[in-house]
Amino acid sequence: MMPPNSDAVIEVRDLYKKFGSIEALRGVDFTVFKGDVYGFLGPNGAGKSTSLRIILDLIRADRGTVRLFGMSYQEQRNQILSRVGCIIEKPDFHGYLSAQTNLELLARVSGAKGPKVDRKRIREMIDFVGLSGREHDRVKGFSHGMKQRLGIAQALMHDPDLILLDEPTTGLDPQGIIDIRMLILKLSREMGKTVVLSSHLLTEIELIATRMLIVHKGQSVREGSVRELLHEQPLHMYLDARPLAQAEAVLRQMPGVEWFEQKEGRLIIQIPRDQVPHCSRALIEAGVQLHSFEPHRALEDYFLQLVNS
Amino acid sequence: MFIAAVVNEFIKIAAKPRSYLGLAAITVLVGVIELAMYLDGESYVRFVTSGLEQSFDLQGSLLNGHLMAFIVLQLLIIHVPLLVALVTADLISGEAATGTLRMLITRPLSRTALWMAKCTAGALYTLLILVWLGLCALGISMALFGSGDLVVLNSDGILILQQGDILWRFLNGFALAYLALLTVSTLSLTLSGFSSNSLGPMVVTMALIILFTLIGTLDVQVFDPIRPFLFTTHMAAWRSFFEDPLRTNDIASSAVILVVHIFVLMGVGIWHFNRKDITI
Repeated sequence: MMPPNSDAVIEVRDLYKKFGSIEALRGVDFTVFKGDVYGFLGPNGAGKSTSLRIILDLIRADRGTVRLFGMSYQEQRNQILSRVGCIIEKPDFHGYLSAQTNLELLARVSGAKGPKVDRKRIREMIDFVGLSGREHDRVKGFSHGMKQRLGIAQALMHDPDLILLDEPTTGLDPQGIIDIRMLILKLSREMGKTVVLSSHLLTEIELIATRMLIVHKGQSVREGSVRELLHEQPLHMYLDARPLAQAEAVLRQMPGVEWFEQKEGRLIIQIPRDQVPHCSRALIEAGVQLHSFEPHRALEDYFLQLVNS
Repeated sequence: MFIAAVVNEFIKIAAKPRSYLGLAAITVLVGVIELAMYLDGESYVRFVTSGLEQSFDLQGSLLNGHLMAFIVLQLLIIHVPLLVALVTADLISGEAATGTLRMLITRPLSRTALWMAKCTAGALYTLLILVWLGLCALGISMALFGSGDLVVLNSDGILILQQGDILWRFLNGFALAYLALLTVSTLSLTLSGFSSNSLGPMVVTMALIILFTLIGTLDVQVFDPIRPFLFTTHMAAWRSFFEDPLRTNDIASSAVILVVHIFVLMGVGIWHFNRKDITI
């Protein structure tokens, strides 16, 4: 039995799960602390959804322990779930019912304030996710984005402390993706919620997560703050400059700059983070026309490096 | 919270068009039978009682509201399980198929409570179907054909029940028929937990009813030991209330066997639902 951590919202230790002969999880460990925006990163089939489903008691682990708010499902399932809001995979609703009735059905069994439906709260949530005016429409006529918004509304309706979102931006248009990102940041920064976000999209995690776990083939590969993990490796920069040969010559003189590679008319270099301003200045002073000097997707490199190793 | 879950389940049942198929089917079928008997019922009764005319002098019309209700129930009550299973087989599997089960199970409500809420809502729907069948059968029959004594033809003879001695028999018959239908409803709900589409549990429920009915009617000795314990053997037990004297031991035994079926099926359903991985 693991000792409960007072700041830990989720403590997962040594999770194993098999579906038939397929080992979906082979030892997943992580801890989510209060106020985290926790990114759960891994390629498709890595075990992200299975882990989240175990955390939500949708699936029972073959081995390992899960504690939420210091409690276990064996002892206090209802107390745990009354403090959790979630969207797993995609939000599904009864298509033959209106958005409001769907929310009422879920509110009635969401527990925090008993079975009485708080219609004022439902109204607030519908406004919050921008579905005002459509609340009496049947959900079967809703687009994927609208269902996703309704999913957010049902996840937040009972004012949970912990929000689990499994691939929340899948299938959304660019504006929808931005809206969800802003919402997650708002939930964390303004409302003090703990958010766990699973995604196979590196950008998504990099942009909003404060801490993250990389899972691969059912195992925890690396856990830490996004900043820590990114600083574990040098920065790769893409340089578009004319003439490129002159730019390369200038950079070869700079201390700490290495790994020169030309790709599609651009130069890729590896550089210590604190050298970036000096390099820019040196290139300009040498008369090089600097078109762009931008970081390569650092997390992507890091992720591929971990996964491939 | 349990009551809230039952309310939710009943709201869902009430909102689905398929829930009204059963009520509509009963209305249409009773209407057709009543109309046919209204137009040509006397010749039907003459045909049925033709063998009795040598032994009895039958005066007046035997066709009345009570006989009609009895005929309607005899004809329809074997089809009602299909109408019940149409809805109850969908209660878990339908939600699994649409993904709403996932949302429901992540609410602070135990899986046992959720299963029981679905079972209770299914039981209420079954009661509604049976009450509607009773109202259609008795209500329309009495309105069209009026009251009168009930002549029942049993395998061991003819029984004439006095007008004032009939209603309690119908009510008790309905109660026993309800236990039989509740067994079907619980069976289909239990099977529903094993599936992710509602067609499967419904077909399996009907297949089991057909199989057990065949076993019950096939005059083969090898089935003799199990025949009394099949729920289908007791589905027509409601007719026992239209005998005189009442075979109370047989009625009690049928009720006990049906109740045991219900509790065993509930146990299996809850046990499985609590261990079920929600993967879709």
